Amino acid sequence: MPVEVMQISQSGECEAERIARGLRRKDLTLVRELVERYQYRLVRYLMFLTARRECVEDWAQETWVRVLDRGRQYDGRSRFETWLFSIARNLAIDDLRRRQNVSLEEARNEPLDLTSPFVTAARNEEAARLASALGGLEPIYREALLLRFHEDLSLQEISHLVGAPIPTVASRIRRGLERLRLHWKSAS
Amino acid sequence: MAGEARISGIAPQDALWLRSHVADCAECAQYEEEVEGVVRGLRSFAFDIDPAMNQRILNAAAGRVRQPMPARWWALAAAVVLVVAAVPVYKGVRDARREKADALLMEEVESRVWRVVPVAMEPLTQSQPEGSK
Repeated sequence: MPVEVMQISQSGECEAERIARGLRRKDLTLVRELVERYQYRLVRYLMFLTARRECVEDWAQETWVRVLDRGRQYDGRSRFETWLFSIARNLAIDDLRRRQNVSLEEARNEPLDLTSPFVTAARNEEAARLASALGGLEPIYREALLLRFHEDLSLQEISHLVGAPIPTVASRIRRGLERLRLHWKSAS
Repeated sequence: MAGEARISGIAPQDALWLRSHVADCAECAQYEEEVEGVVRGLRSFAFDIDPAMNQRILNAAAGRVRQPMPARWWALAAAVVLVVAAVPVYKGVRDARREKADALLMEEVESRVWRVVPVAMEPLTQSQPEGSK
């Protein structure tokens, strides 16, 4: 078992280094491979973080452009997805902050997406039971839950990604989980 | 502890204790079942994405990579033009300087000759009257 774990971590490390080398060279073949491998996870992360389906494609595209532009900043010492998500996170938060400054008149002209993306993304009964509660949950809780239970990141990795101390991250997961559990209980 | 086991993990001996406790405690067993249900539910969300999205993203990325190439070529061409134009200008300036320096030197030589020759001829001019005496 420990040997298996070691092999996985070693291959993971090599993979990160390979990605770092390719990004330094702005290798388009590698970028194509990365887009194919991580695009769905990136979209899912942005969806959990913001619940703004109408903006996600633009953010995803801009994230990949930034990955190319700032490829030299990725040193291959951490998992690629944590670096990718941190770029996407900063970009989405900045954009949402900018959008809050638009006038009400301008905001009225923006198309509104009234259906929660979680309702349409619920693929079974268990997900359907959580969908409405998930839509009402604060983004920081949704983000923490996704990173812990979907992406299987450690608390340390999540802490590094979101820029919050480990106890804060643990607290967000605990609170988010508890809120969903109470909803789950009442729904059943 | 059932929640902590899911969030940050617990020590193996605590996990063993939790297992035996949950087997006996209906309340904790229900709590654990609810937490597991939430985690399973979270993992069941699947978002539809436009299949053409990847291609659009790759096109944007490719455009970004190709963009700096013309700029590089322009910079290289500008450098070559600069060097080609600078060589004759440098040569012209160098030749003009040389001509000026030569002219100055000639002037200096001539002025020295005119100054030095009369001085050199002074003993001759002084000894002539004695000789003539």
